[in-house]
Amino acid sequence: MSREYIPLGIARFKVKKGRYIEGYIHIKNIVDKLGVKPGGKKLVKLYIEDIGVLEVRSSLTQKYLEFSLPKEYHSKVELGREYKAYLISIEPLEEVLDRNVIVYSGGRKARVEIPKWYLESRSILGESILELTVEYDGVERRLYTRYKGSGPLIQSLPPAEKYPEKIYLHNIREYRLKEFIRDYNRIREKYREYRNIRLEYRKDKLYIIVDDHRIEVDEYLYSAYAYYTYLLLRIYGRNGFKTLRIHNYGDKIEIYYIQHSKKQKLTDHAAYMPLKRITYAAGTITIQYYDPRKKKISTTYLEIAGDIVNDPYIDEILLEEYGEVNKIILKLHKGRWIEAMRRITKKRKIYYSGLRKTGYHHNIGDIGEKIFQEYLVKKGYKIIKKNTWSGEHGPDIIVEKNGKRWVVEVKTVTYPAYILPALRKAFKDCFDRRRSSLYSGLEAIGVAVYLSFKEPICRILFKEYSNTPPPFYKTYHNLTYSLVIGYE
Amino acid sequence: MNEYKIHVDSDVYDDKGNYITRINIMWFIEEIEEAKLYDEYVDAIVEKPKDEKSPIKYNAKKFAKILKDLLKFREKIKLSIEETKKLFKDDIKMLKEIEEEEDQAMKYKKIIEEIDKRNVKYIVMKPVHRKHIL
Repeated sequence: MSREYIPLGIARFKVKKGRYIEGYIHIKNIVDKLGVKPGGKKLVKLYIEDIGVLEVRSSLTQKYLEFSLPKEYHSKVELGREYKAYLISIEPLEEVLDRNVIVYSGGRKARVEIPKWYLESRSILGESILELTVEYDGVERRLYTRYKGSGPLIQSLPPAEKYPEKIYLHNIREYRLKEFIRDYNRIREKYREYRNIRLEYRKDKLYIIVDDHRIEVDEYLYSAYAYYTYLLLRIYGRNGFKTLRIHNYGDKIEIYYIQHSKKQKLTDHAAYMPLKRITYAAGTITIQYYDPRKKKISTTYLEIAGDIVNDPYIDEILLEEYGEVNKIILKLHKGRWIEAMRRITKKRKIYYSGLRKTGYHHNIGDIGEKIFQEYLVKKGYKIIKKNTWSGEHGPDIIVEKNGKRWVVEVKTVTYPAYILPALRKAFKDCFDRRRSSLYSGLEAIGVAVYLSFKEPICRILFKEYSNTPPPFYKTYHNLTYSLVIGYE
Repeated sequence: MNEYKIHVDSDVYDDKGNYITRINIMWFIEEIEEAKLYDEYVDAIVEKPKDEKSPIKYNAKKFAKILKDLLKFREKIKLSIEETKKLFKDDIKMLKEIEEEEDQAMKYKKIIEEIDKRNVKYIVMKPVHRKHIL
């Protein structure tokens, strides 16, 4: 560092943006003498008359050496005055950086302190999650931390029995969600219990894949605590949001299932319990976890939309008639039908006693949707989206076949007189959906399902309405097929 | 052979314990839902049932009004019932169910008549647990 002072010439100062004082020195004639190539950032040590010795980062061009004056020297500078400047040392910034990262170690504690300009040089600007690669005792370790976006980054290392004197910081980089998912997929191969759960990030949407079944995650939160990162997945189940929390400790992963009731809001305080096993079958994710209060393994279920239900409703297709209105008669699986009827009668009891209005019709609607969905799958349609429960906003089902897409609205009744009015209602809903820009280009299928209480037989009426672009609201009433009349 | 019980029907009695008729409670409730008469239905309940087997008690005048509204509602969908019959003309079981459902409307008329004739204050509905064998 010690070299003879090189006279640089005259330094001038000006105010920039009303806040910063920027100095510049004309150096066109002496560029060759400096010993560094112009271009890029340099760390420069200067002596300026009446001001003192400065160590600043500066940009060096063919003509000028420019630098912003540190705040502590602001009071010493007179604007418009010319100062004589001498160069003490100049080095490319990259070579200096590594020397300036401080790693304190010794005893049980160790910490890393990284100045802001170092982070900026690594293009880490603003709030972000960082991955630090640290080496000590001959082992490379990864740490995760959250950088607030201002000031230096101070990160203590995890507690250990004794830290060696030398700790090397190999790398700092921004750790993005894509990388989290890539690392998770790589690490999970080691852990047998998580092998069937995979994450996928596509077009800003996050998917969780359990046993090749893809579920879109409604909300997610990606964050970091000291030493590790975590991903909070909120999946919409039958009874509201269900939450999984995935931790990445760098060399191992852990998944937690967060338990919360309706009253207790989902916060950071929510108790989470170690997960034992996750499996997927028949449209349901089964989560087993250890409950420390009960001191045993408990199970919860997370019901999601399924393309194919393992235990199907449809036993046999008795009749298929395609005409102005298509008619199907299906023989249902006895066990499933009994189970469905019991479910309906149970919910009906609440309705009947005047205690609560909701529940009963959602249950009937749910069964009808599942039956028709199964029929479509049998006919070679691909289910793109399905409502997880009847009554949810959005179309009931969206299906695709040969590059064509349909919006499907299913209405289920248990009263024979209402089949045709239900079909008309389904169409009304279909066209309402298509008014939204999301589904405007799609064609519509209106479906009415009649469930009998007396025998496991289901009668379905449906009609396809292919007319693009969608008609205006008023023209629904001109939907003139003679069958649906007289119900308003 | 599976055996199961579900509560589909209810027997209707007047306040003195005289039997009037038997109606399908599932259809009755679905009609109320379709005709948007739920609030009136809740208003008509005098005594809520304690459990599955216990009867439910209604105010007779309010109950009669609901039934009249249901009959009006049925007239609106009369044409669609006929269209349904045409659609399922080969399906004997379905036609039977539609017939039964039309019978239910006659039962409503009967209940209204009985209430007017005997000056009934309360209507009591007792659930019937029918055995279904598959």
